[in-house]
Parts: sequence; structure tokens; C-alpha cells
Amino acid sequence: MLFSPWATVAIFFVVAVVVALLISAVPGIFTSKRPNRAKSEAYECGVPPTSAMIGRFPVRFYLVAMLFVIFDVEAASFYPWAVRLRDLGAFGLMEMVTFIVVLGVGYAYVWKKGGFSWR
Amino acid sequence: MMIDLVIFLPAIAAIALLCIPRDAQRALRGVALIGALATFVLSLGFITGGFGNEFDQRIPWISGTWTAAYHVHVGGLSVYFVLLTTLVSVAAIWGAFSYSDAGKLRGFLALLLLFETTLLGLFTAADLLLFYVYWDLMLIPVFLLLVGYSGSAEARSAAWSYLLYNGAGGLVLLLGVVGVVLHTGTFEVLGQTYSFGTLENWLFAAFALAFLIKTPSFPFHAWMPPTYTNSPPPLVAMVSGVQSKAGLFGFLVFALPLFPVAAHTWAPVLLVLAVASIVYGAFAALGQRDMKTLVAFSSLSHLGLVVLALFAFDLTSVPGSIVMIVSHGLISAALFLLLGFVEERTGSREIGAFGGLAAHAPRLQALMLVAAMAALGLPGLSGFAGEFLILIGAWQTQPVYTAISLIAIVVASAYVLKMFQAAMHGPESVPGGRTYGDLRAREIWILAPLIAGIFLFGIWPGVLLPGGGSLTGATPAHTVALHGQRPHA
Amino acid sequence: MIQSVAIDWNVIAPVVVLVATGLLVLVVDLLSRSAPRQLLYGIGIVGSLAAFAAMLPLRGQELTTFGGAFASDSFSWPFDVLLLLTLTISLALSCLGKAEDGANPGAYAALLIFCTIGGLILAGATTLIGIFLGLEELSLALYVLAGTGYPRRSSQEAALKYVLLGSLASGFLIFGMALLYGSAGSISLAAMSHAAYAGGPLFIGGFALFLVGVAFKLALAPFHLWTPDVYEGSPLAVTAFMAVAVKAAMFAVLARFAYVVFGHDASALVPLWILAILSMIVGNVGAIRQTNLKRLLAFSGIAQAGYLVLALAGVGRGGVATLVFYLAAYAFMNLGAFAVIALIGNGDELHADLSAYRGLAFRRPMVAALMMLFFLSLAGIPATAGFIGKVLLLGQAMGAGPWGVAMAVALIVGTLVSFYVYFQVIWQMFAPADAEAVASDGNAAVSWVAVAAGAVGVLLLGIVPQLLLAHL
Repeated sequence: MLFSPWATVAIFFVVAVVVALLISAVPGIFTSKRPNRAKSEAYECGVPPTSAMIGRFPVRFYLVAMLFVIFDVEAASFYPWAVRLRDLGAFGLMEMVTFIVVLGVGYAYVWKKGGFSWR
Repeated sequence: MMIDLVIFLPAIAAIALLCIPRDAQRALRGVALIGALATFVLSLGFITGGFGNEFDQRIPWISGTWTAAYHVHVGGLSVYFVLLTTLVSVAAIWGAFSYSDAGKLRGFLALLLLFETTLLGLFTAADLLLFYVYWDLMLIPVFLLLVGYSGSAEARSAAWSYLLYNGAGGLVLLLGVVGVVLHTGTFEVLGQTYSFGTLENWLFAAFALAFLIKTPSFPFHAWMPPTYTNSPPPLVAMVSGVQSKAGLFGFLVFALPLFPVAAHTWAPVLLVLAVASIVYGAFAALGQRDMKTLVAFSSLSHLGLVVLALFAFDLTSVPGSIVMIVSHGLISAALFLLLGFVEERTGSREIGAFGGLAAHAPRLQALMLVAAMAALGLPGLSGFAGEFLILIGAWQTQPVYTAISLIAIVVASAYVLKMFQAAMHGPESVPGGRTYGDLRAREIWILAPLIAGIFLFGIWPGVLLPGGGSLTGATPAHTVALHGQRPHA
Repeated sequence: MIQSVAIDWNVIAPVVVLVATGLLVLVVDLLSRSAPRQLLYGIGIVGSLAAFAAMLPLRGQELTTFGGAFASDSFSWPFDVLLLLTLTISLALSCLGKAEDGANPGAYAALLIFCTIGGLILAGATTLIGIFLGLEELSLALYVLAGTGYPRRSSQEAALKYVLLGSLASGFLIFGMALLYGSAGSISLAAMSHAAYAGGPLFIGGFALFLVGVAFKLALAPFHLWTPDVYEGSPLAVTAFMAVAVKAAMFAVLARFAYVVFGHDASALVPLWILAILSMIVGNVGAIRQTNLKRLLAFSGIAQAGYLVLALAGVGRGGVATLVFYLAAYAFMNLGAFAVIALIGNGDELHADLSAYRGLAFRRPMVAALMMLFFLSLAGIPATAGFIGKVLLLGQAMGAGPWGVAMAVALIVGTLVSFYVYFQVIWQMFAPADAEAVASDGNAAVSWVAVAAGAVGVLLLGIVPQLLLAHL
């Protein structure tokens, strides 16, 4: 064995860093720089910016984001479970049902308490 | 069973008090007094067969890596302390009837009774943990009485010095107590001998520090003047008359028998502190204007004599210390109660602020005279008996310290007479031109047993010692003195 | 092939019961438009008692499940009982809170229950992953609970501070766990002891970070700075729960870690001893100047956490008994004190101010007497549970070499300082009131139950400690 099994990890890190550096460095080498005011502004889909880029925005976004993350993770855990459903058998099914019920109660609770209404 | 009844009867009376409405003054007084009197009468049962009877009771309490038992014992030395407590408590609780704030009388009496229970528990404890339980519990009623029932801002701040000094002593004692049990595996250490090795010096130091603070002894007495001065008379009668004996009891029953070698090692230090207390207390008393503070410092001086007696390790001085302990308890309780009666009449206790009470209050003067003469050590009264035995005994082993202590005996006459004269003689004057009367029957009855004791033990100190006063008989106190002998190599 | 892990349902029955209870509370809250708070809390209390019933058959057994990752043994059992007891009393206390549970009593009760589940997992976890799982379950629920006094700014502040510093602590903890895993090559604590024996920078670094994380959660000085604000800002019942339950759960972890990993040699625990000594000093000295009882009890909690470390000194089996005894004592006296605060304030937070207690002894003698009992116990005065606990702690520490003696001395000094703190409250209650205090003292039956439970516990453990000691 030429490399230890961990060497792949090291190689991965090296490649990741090199690629990231290249991507940000190469344009700087090959492009010509003619900055003007319009170019330096924040890009907001072509619409003229209305406020500073860094500012306060409603906490409601967090709520939505958190709920998204929860279901995102749930979905993610479905994939390996689905692949191995036959091996896991009835136990696996019960396990997932329990998981969904727990999440479902929480979902229903948030819904009923108005977590999704944009107040 | 008998012992438990004596210990907890005051507490039961206290709880009964709390069930009586606050404004039923007669009922409150009746229950409190009956409780205290019944305790005293029951405690007399310990000496029906003379001193030297043993009462014992043991119930297992905690077991595990170490054991503790609810083990109470009356006999030998503890009987003197128990009787002193029950007697002084009767006087104090009866004396509390003249407490001014009627709305608070119930709590005042209840706390005094609880205080009595903690004291009795302490003096009967034959288990080190049980001893410690009462040692610390004692702080609570006194702290509460000072904060809630003394009515002055000075008393409320005195509560802090009382609590923190004695609490510190108690915590150091706790270190010592746990140190002992790590070595012995049991808290029932009485009557056993252990060899603690090099640890013994440390353990003895922890015990001694706690005991010296409680007594108190110079230089650990800073809590005493404010506490004694600002306490209501019944409280200070119990603190000075009984609680100050707790540390001495601890020396006699626990520290000296448990750590005989360390006791000898530390004896020079303790003797110096004792002599310092004796001399400093006497001169400090001489300089006081407040009569209560004066008596407080005289207490410091007199209890220093007891420490001197204990660490002189003499076969006469150690039994003498018992006489002194009982006698001081009676005298200081009587003096503080009397000062309370004086203050009720004159509204002051300042030397020079009033005078000539003798003219209209001859009975007050007479009782004050007895107590004062006993305090300065007039032969025929109990103070003399104690001092004499101690000085004779201590002279044998510690002539230098004893000689220095004699100075204090002389100074005692000066400050006691100064106080007595200022209050009783001279031209009659009372602040604000108050009118006042002589002692009422109740007040005389309160003091009668204390005064009787002062006479009895003055004339016949031997009654306190088994075998009719033969000083060569083997008494528990002698055992202490013998235990205290450095083992011969 | 995947092998299904055999599960011993008996072992996790208490956890399952609590999970079901938590969900049930949420569902009931959803279905009934106007379920009274008391009903929801009542369900919680019943569920907690049911979980306790499920624990009874586990007593004295040494069982593991999930391939040894979760244990129910003589070690975790007493901690579990304590956690359930705390949950029950906190729920009872919450019935009183004046809408301090915000608009969502269901969520509040459910979170308390989930928090307890986290505690149960912590007490039974035998792997690093189990510990982290339990800790996060416990912490996340607590972050939200701290903020349930929502309209009050102080409650929002508490929640924010707690979540920021708590996450930081979790970060330390999990980084430490990663290093420990690296050094031992296993997530199981049992495997860790070999790594501990070998030492090495990876293990030492991992343990140090792990300790920092745990010390954060336990509020050991110098990682205690969040405590006073969080305790003050959180609703009363949450504060009470936080003080006791987190300590119980984290000490279960710490003790198991110490015994399993360092059973052979406790010398690596010296940093922990130093943290304990610091906590005893900082907690007691810090409490001196507090005039808000919740802050005062927060500092007291820091000091008490320091005391509890003494139980681990010497790493002997008696240590767990001592730990559990003192935790039980602490639970009773602390919950009792909080219950009195609730009683006096009638759920109104303003009454946690010390001045509200001036002259209480003559206004409400019974309440004052009970409050005094709890504070005497905190101070370690005899005839209370706190005293026996301190004797046990001292006995444990003083037999454990120089560091043990140093901690014992620190305990004594700290206790003396704490006399001033605790007796200050008693002093206020007995000192005559300057002006007639506004007599808006509450008198709700529910908090009387909690107060009485605390008082009985403190007295029983203080006078007949054998009742509990015989079972440890």
C-alpha cells in the first residue's frame, strides 16, 4: 500500500483548497478591471438597490428556514431507509412511522398555532 | 426515654405555644413557664440517687462508610451542665414575662424554649455528630432573637457578629469532626481511645478553636460584647449563663479525652490565651460604662480561669473548674437578669446615669449585693469556691500563669464594686425623674433559686462532687485530668 | 447485511412513556380550543408519575440496550428518579405562574417533559454520542423555556444569552468528544479508559474541551457568567427546574465519565477540583451583593455545583451515594425555596426582590418558617438535608488526598461566606418592616403543595437520612 487510507482525505483537502483558490485567482489574472459605480453596487436581480446590503430583516424568515431544515433532514433520512427497507423489515417501518408521527405532531402544532401565517 | 423527655419537653412547649393565639398572653406565659418548670423538675430526676447515676439511651441513626447513633447520656460531667441549663432556663423564661412587645411575646418565649432544647441536646450528646448538630442549631434561636425580638438596630447588627463568629467556629469544628470520623469510622467516640498520629494536633486545634470562640476566650471574643450588651436580659442570661459553657463542656467531654497528647502540645498556647482572657477581661470590664458590657467582660475573665484550670492538668483544678462553671452560670444569669430589672426601672444601664436605687428598692439592692459579691469572689459564695479550687490547683503546675491571674481577682473587686456602688448608692437619681418600685414577688422568685445556688455551692462546693466532696475520689473530672497526663514513655 | 439492534423495551420504558406524554400534551392542546393550563400540566404530572412507575421494576438491575449504548443501572436509577421528581414539582409550580408560560401552555409543558427526556438519556448514556444527544435534547428545550416569559425583556435576554453561550459550550463539548474519539478509536466510555491510561495530547486536549463543555452546563466558575441573568430572566418554574435538573443530569454524566474513564487514577481530574474550588468562592462571594432572590439562588447554585464536585473526589463508590444524596437534598431545598418565592409573589416576578420579605416572619409566620428551613438547609445547618449532605461531601473529600482536603477547606470557607448570604434572607424576614409592606402575598394551594413537599424532604433527609442512604 503506497498511501495510508487517510491519504485520500488529505488529498481531498488539498484538491478542495487548490480548486477554490484557482477559481478565485484565475479571473483576477486574465480579466481587465474597469470598475464604475454601477458595477460596485450589490447585485439585486437587476433592480436598483433600495437599501444597504447588510440590514435587519424580519425574524419570520428564521421560522420558515427552521421548519424547512427539519423537513429537509427528514427527507434526507428517508433515502437510506428506503434503500434498506426490506432488510429492516417491520421494525424499520415502525421506526419510521414513529419518527413521522413525532414530526407530524410538531407540524400540526406549528400549523394550528399559526406558525405558517405571515403575520 | 427520660433523657429524651427532658431534652424535648421545652421544644414541645414551644410548639404548643405556636398553637395558642398570639394575644392569649396568660395562656402563653402559663404554657412556657410550665414547660420550663416541668423540664427542671424532670431533670432533678437525674440526681435522685445522688450524682454519679448514669442514664443512657442509644438508637442507631446513620450507617454506611461510617456510623452515627442517636446516643444520649446523662451522668458524670453532663449532669451538672443539664441541671444548670434547666435551672437558668426557668429563670430566663420567667424573666421574659416582662418582655415589652406583647405581639411578639409568643415568638420570644418559643425561641427561648427551643434554645433550651438545643442546649440540653448538646450537653447530653454522647455521639460526636449529635453534639455537632446541637452545636450549630444553637445559633439559630439566638440569631432570630437578636434580629427579631431585641428591638434595636445594634442588636440586629450584633446578630451578625454572633452568627459569623460562632458559625466560623462551628465550621472549623465540622472539619475536625469529619476528620475524626474518617479515622474512627464512627461518631460514637466517647470512652474510646484512638491514636490519630500526626493528625491529632490538627484535630485538636480545630476543636479548640471552635470551643474558644464559643466560650469565648481572648482573642476570639469580638462577638461577645455587642451580643451580650444588646440581647434582652433573658436571652443574655441563657447565653452567658449556659451557652458559654458549651465550649468548656466540649473540652471536658470530647477534646481532652480524645486528644490527650495534642492537648499537652497545645497547652502552652491555651494557657497564654486563658491568662490573656483573665487579665484583659478584668481590665476591659474596669473601663466600661455600660453595666451589661461590664458584666460581659467579667464573664470573659472568669471563664478564662476555667480554661486555665483545664489546661493546668491538675487533680484539684479540673474538678474546681466544674464548680466554677456552675457558679459562673448562676452568677452571670442572676446579674444579667438583675440588670434587666434595673433597666426596666431606670430606663438606663449606664454607670453614672442613675444612682441610689437602694433607697427605694432594698430588696433589689440585697439580691444585687449577693450576686455582685459572688462575682468578685467573696468567701462563702460560690464564686469563691470555684476560684479558690482553681487557683490552688493551677498553682501546683503553672505557678507563673496562676500568679498573673491573681491580678484579675483584685481588679474584679474594683469593677464589681464600681458598678454596684454606682447603681445602688450615692444620691438617688433616675433619668427623667421616673418613679420606680422595689422588686415584685415574681422577680424575687425568679432570682431565688439562682441566689440559693450561689449560697449552697459557696458553703458546700463538695455537693457538686461525688463522694461527698472528697477531692481525692475518682470523679469524671479527675479522669479528664488523668487522661490529660502525658503518657509516660 | 444490516443487523437490527435488539431493543430491551423495559430499559427505555420511562423514556417512551415521557415521549408519549409530551406528544399527548401537544395533541390535547391542539384538539381542545380552550383546555385549561391545569389540565395540560396535570397530564404532564400523570405522565411523569407513570414514567416513575415504569422505573420501579428497573431498580437494582444492571441492564443495557441499543448494543450497550444506553444503560439502566444502579448508577442511572437514582438520577432518573430525581429528574422525574423535579419535573413533577416544576409542573406543579407552573400551574401557579401568571401566564408566565406565555400563550402556549401546551408547548411549555411539552418542552419541560422533553427536557427531562434529555436528562434521562444523559443519565443512561454510555457513549459519547448518547451524551451529546441527551445534552442537546435537554439544552434545546431549555433555551426555549428560558424565553417563555416572552413579553418580559429579561426573559428574552435570558433565552438569547442561554442559547448563545449554550451553543458555544456544545461546540466545545463536541470538539472535545471528537478528539476523545480520535484518541480512543471508539465512542464508548469503556474504551476511553485505555486511552486515559495511555494519556497523550489528543486525549488530554479532548478531555479538557469536554470538561469545559460540561462545566459550562453545570455553571462551574469560571464558566458561570451566563447563570445569574438566565436564572433571573427565566420564568420561576423554569429556573427551579433548570437549577436542579441540569445539575442532576450533568453530574450523572460527569460521574459516569469519572468512574468509567478515570476509575483507575483520578489524578487527571485535578482541573475539575480547581473548577470546584473556584465555584465555591465565586458563587458564595458573588451572592453577597444580590438583592434579587432568583439571582441569589443562581449564585448559590454555582457554589452548590462546586460542593457537589467533592462527591467525585477520590472516585470511590461511596461518591455516587454522596452525589445522589446531596442532589436530592439540593432538589428539595432549592425547589422549596422557589416554591416559596412563587407563593409570596403569587406568580409575580417582582416579588423575588429581597425587600418583599422584610418582616415576613410576623406577617406570615408559617411561610417565613418554611423559607427559613430551606435557606438553613442551603447553608448546611444541622437537622436539614443540606447538613447531612455536607458531612457526606466532607467525608468523601477529606479522605482523598491533598486536593480533597483543599476542596474541603474551600467548602468550609465558602459555607461561612454563604452564612452571610442565606442568613441575610432570614434576617430580612425577622427584621421589623420599615413601613407596612404591601401585603399582596399570594396563597395558592398548588404552591403550598410544592412547599410542603420540599419541607418534608428537607426535614426527612436531615433527621433520618438513613431513609435514603440505605438505598444508595
